[in-house]
Amino acid sequence: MSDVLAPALSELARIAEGLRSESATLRTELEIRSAQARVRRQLDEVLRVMRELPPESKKRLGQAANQVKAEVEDIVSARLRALTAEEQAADLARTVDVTLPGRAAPLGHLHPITQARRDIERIFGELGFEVATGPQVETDFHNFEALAMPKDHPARDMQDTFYVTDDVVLRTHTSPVQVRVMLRQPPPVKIICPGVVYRRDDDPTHSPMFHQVEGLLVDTNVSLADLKGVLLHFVRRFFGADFSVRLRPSFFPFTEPSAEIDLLCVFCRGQGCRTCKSGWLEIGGSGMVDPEVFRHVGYDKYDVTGFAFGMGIDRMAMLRHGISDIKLLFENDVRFLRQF
Amino acid sequence: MRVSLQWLRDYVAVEAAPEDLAARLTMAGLEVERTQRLGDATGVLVAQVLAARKHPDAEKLTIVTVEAGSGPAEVVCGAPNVPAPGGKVAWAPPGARLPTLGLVESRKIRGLVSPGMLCAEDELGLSDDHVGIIHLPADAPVGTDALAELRDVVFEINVTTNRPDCLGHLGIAREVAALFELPLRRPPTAVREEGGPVLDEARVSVQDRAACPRYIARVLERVQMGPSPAWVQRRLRAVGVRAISNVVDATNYVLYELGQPLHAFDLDRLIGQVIVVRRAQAGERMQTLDGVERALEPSDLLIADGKRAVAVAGVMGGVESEVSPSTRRILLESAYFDPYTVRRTAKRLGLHTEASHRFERGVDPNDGVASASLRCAALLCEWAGAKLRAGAIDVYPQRVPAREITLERAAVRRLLGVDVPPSEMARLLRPLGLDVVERETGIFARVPTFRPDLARSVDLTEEVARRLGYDRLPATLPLTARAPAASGDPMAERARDTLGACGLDEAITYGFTSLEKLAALGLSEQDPRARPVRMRNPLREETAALRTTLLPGLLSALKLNLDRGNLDTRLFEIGTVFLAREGEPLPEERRTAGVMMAGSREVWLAPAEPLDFFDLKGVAERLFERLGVPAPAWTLAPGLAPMHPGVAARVGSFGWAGEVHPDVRARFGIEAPCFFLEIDLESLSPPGPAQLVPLPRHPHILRDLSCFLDVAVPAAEVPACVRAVGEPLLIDVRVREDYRDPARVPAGKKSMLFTMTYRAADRTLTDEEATQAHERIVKHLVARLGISPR
Repeated sequence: MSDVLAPALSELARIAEGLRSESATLRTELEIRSAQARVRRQLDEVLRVMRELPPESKKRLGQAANQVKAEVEDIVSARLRALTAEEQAADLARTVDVTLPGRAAPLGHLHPITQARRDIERIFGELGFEVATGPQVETDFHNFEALAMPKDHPARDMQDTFYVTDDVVLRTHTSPVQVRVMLRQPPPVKIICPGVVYRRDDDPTHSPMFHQVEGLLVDTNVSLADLKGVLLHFVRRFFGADFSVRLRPSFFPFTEPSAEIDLLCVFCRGQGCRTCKSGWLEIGGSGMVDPEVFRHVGYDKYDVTGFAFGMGIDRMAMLRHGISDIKLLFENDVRFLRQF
Repeated sequence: MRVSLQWLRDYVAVEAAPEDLAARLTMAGLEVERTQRLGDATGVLVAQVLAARKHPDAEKLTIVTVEAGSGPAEVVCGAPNVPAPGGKVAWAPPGARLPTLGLVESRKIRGLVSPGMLCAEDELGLSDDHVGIIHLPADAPVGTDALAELRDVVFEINVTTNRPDCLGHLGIAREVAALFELPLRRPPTAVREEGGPVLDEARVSVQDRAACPRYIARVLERVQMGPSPAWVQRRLRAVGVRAISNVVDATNYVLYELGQPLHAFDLDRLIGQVIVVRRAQAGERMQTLDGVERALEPSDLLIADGKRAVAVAGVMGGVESEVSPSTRRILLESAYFDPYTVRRTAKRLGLHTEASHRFERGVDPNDGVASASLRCAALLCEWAGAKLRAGAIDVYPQRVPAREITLERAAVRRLLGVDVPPSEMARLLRPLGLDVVERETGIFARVPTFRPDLARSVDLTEEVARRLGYDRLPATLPLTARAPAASGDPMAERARDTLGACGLDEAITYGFTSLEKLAALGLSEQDPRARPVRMRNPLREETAALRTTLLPGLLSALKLNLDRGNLDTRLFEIGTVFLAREGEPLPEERRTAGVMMAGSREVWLAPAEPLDFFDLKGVAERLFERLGVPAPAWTLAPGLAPMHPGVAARVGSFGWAGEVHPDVRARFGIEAPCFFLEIDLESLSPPGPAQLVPLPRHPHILRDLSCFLDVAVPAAEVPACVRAVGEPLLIDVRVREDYRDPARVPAGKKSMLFTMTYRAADRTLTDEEATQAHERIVKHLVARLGISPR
């Protein structure tokens, strides 16, 4: 009996052994699966003899066959595992040159004046100031007359003016916006007016076009101390907590009292240097709204006081970013713009 | 205004260091812009010339033997004006230190060792003068500091237009006296009158009393013309005035001392010995002191004699009556001229003089005009040996009264935010010359007429604040009376953010443009943009007009970048353009967005690709998306003037875009192709908050359509035609390919690929449903556009 079973048993063993030795050469799942299918067919071939065997032999052969089948499955799954591990190992061996530049869409830049203006609008916005705007081409009335600068007033010399006609000018400051707002609405008024202004001036430190921000607060009890407090708050938010402002007596026809706004020098912090000489840098003008202005806009019928200020946005952007030449702001060299 | 510290000390005994004085003045509203030290040298000695002989080897050099107390020394000197023996010079021996030359050492000059040098004014830092060496006065003690009397400090003070009283040393001294609590010493005006009454020799007739409220004339005789004393010349030079003669110098001295301009006429050259103050007659002309023949107009106020104009009142004298070396008799004018009259004339003539500067701002009609006349007469007697005739002709029909102002304590507190008691206000204001009466609720002040700026209580409030010191005011934050409304310019800001996110850099160009640049765009004459608002007084050609489009400014910015090697330049600008309006004084101002691109698009680790129209359009599409603008129609616009006829589009009703016409860019000096987009932001309204569209709950199915179609059919027609079918399952249609290889595409055709997306809202779509819908659409396209599916 054992003689009858012997060739079949050894054949089974040989098939299993064959697969075991072959498995190392199988490089893909497909190869493994096809080898597995082939082995199954071979086993079936061997087991075809079972039908003619006596039950006892059939049982023995069946047991042997099941053992071999299990062995084949083990070989296949071990090989598949090994293959997955190899693939992962190969993937983990992959390396990139991390020093190559990144792949990115180009980044655009907002002009430093825009950035400064937005910060100014935000800081004053937190204090409750609205943003108001007005035309750049203005009537003589709004730009001068209503601001207590009649024709032939010497103060007009302070602002070299571009004229379109006798009565139409390019605004020399953003102050006409306060006139327009006060003509339009009753007090209280709490606005800032950022915008482009023009002066007939072109030298290394001046540009015929630049940006200013005007501020106006009119209410029942607004004082010079309030102006000082608002400006102090502003420069500390804009330039940094260790900065301060100083108000210095001056003259503007549309404010009384009037004051220049000096910022603690950004370069020497008040020590006195070549740029500031005194430790302070002038950044604008300010004061309490002159009753004459209130008269022009019909506010003399209200019992109000107010302060107004005008500061150079370009100047503040330049101080903040260490830009010493105003021409750079309007050349639009992308190597300049891309630094902000 | 230049102020000499030495001169200032005539009126106030201020001992503070110049820097401290400058700082205090600045904080009092008299901004010291520059502090200049004159004669800032050490070790320079008074030396007596003993002998002088020519240098053996050099024609222009002199060997000067000087004595300064330590034995004779031989100094080589190159100046042409070595004084005769006995004269005194400033010798900088070795060891002396000069402001610009530094330490002085013995130096060999043409074979001879010179122990230091004899100094000229510029070497001592006294002036820019290098004509010759300084001659010191005969009584200067030999061997002492040569600069003892010459050293000075000059402050350049920016006097605001409201303070004419500070346009003279006395006015500044009054401020200094107040600041340092020192007494003010007024200059002496005592003068002895000799000879007969002035009216025997001269008459004054003021015909325009509004323009000349006061005119004082004095007559001085036996004038001996000559130079003024050296110290006077020095002071005048320190404040920037050239010494001319004792008479002219005396008038100038008083101008810089009291701030009152004066004029000295040669009385014998005044026809009829009369002064007539009147307006000019039409066609009248005169030659002013600067030698220029002036055409006068009836608005000009003149000083005339019996026959002709002899001075432009308050501006400049005339040649005809000018004092000269032969002058013996002088009519001295001290007057108050109406500021606006003087200003109009000075402006029209382009003649800004020291006199007009002061009259325009307002001199003091009372004590100022009167004491200047006396003071100058006294100086003429002293410096020119003149004799003053008795009395003065003083035409002053209506006295200008001192202003009286009441200032309430409560008003001061309200405006300044600090309480100032009346006694304190009085203490602060009195040193300025105000007559102050304290009251329970405030003060009552009488303001001298040299302070025309103090007219109202608010002006006095400023004066209180100024004297108190702005730095002593508290800093408070006001209570917000108003909640801010929505503000700013959301469309413009959104456009900035989006264009920045698209990789563009923000430019800010001038609101101006030159007419030449505008013309270079080739706009038709009917185009309103070709008719800009023009400046009447442009600064340069570049500021001749206001821009009507952002194109020229951005082209110029591009040109600058290309010239500097920035070949890949992508700029945007959000700015205002100005369009003239018929019958309206002010132009229309429109916020506008402009984009300018040139160069190439980077490809990662591969050669860059040149930018084209579609890079520009991509930016525009992103912009519209962010601005909440429904995608506008792009239509080919071959007639768009500054654009390439085949690469130009109108964008909806509010924009235009394209490749800049090669001729246009050539006119701006640009060789590279460049692309421009302009959007009128005024036409767009800000979107409300985005409203959620529910996310789809069922999957979609994609179907491609590849087809040939006529080249003439714009790509946008296909999606438009597809949508016209109204297929409810169609969600989206996209253009994927536009392929025109002549080897593979029939002539006159293009091959295009579209992808349609199908989805049902309420169920998972079956393949079959999608196919049926797709076939319906393809059939429609075949029928309507003549496409042939591939």
